This record gives sequence, C-alpha cells and structure tokens, in this order.
Amino acid sequence: MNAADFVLLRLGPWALALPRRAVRDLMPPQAVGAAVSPAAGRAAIRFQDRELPLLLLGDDLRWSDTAPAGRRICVVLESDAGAFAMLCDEFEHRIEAGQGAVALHAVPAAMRTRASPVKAVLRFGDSVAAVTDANALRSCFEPHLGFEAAPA
Amino acid sequence: MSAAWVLDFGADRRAAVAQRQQVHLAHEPQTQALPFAPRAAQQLLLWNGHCVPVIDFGAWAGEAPTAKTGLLGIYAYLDQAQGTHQLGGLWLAAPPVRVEVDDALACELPSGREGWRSFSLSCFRDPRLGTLPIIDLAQVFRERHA
Repeated sequence: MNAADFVLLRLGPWALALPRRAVRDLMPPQAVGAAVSPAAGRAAIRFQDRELPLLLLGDDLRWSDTAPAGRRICVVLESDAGAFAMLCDEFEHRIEAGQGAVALHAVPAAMRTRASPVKAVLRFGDSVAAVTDANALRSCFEPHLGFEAAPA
Repeated sequence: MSAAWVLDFGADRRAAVAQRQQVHLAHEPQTQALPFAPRAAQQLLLWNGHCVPVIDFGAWAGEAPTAKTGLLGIYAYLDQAQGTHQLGGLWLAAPPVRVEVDDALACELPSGREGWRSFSLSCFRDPRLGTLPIIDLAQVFRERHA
C-alpha cells in the first residue's frame, strides 16, 4: 500500500484515513458556518447550488446536533448512494514522509464490532488512523444522512 | 508439573495462563485508541511491528474494570481458525506471579466465577494464591458481537 492513497481527517482526538478517491471536494472554513443547518438528527449544507446531507460528529464520533467548535472544514465525500459532506477539524492531503513508516494492519478481532465503519488500522510512525471509506461511513450513519429515505 | 503465570486483575480476580504465553511486560506503554471498538477493547499497542489489541479484562468479563496500574502484559495465543499465533495485551493490577501447576491440583471453578466458565480451560488450586482459572486467550481476544 502507498501512503499517497490516503487522506487524513482529524476529528477531536481521532484520525480517520480515507482513500483519496473518496474525497470529491473541500469547502473552506468561511463557507461552513452559515451553510450548516442542523435539525434533530439531520443536517445539510449548500454545495454547488444543491443541498448535501451533512455528517456532524462529536468528539465521541457519535452524531451531534451541535458539532464541536473546531469542526470548520467541510469535506465532500462521494459514496455509491451519492455525495454527502462531513465536518472535520483538520484535513491532511497526504501522510508526509516525516510522520514515519506507513503500514496497514487488519483490525484486531477483539476490536471489531458489527456496526463499525473501520476497515483497517493505518499505522504511520507512532500514530494510528482508523481506515474507513465513504460507503462505510454512509452505512454507519445512514439514519442521519437519509439516503434510503430519498426518492429514487 | 508445568509452569504458569498468574495474572492479577484487581478486586481479588486472578487467572492463569501457560508460561510460554507470556511474551512481554510493559509499564505505561503508549497505547492508541481506535474508534468504534468495544468499550473493553478500545486501545491498541504498536509493538515490534505488530498491532496488538489491549483488553481491560475486568470490563471484558462484564465486571468492574481492571485496577489501573499502567502494567500491560502481552500474550501469545494460537488462533485455531487461522492456524496462526496472535498477540494480545491485558492490563494488569500487579506483575504476574509464576507458579507450578500439576494435574493433582485441578479443581472446580470457585463460586462467584461461574461466569468465567465460557473462557476458562480448566482450574487449579495454588497453595499460596488459591483457586485459579486457566483462561483461554483465544476466547478472550476473539471477535465478539455484543
């Protein structure tokens, strides 16, 4: 595997590694604040003249109507069911060589759960990131994204 | 006669593993958290190129969490399904104690430990430490969908 295949999304204490191809676009911090419209269990954001489902996660990586203040970068992800957006604190376009050797590990059996969107563990230097992708996130948080309720 | 290590999880909870299964003992190692993992198994340790799951055995057994001392034991076990040896970490309340085990020391699980039957291979009575279940590490570190 190649470190260049992944981007890193940081949310509070967590690092999520997603395949670069899952990222369709980024929205700058100044575009996020006014564009977010959270309401009980759902949120949306304006992107290129349309509304995208928006994933708001707290520092426990559970849905939160009031995302932590640091979530100022909006990443537009492309899943098989359509695009959705997600707020994060930091977005790293690549894993720099200075962050150490990169290796991909299977999630240890004891750490797996049925509902987890984590597909592998990415090690870089002394740090780890949870490897996931847009489809796994969409599936995990479907009730908050609403793809299955959308008309065909 | 064979040797075993007795692991102490605090609150008068002890269990034994085979001597050969004890691989490493660390104090306050730098563990990493993995999101969406079971509550008792949210930490992992990067060790010698391995990604080692770390379990709070007390919480894993559905009891009070293991007393926090920063002691972490790393253990090897055979994953029968894959036919490979795997590593797993357990937080400990005290350093492991070495004991000798003999068939003549075999006994039943102590009262109050019936819940440990599903992950205990057998049980023996040590003259100093009392009744000690021998735990099946493959069961402890297997995938569970609670």
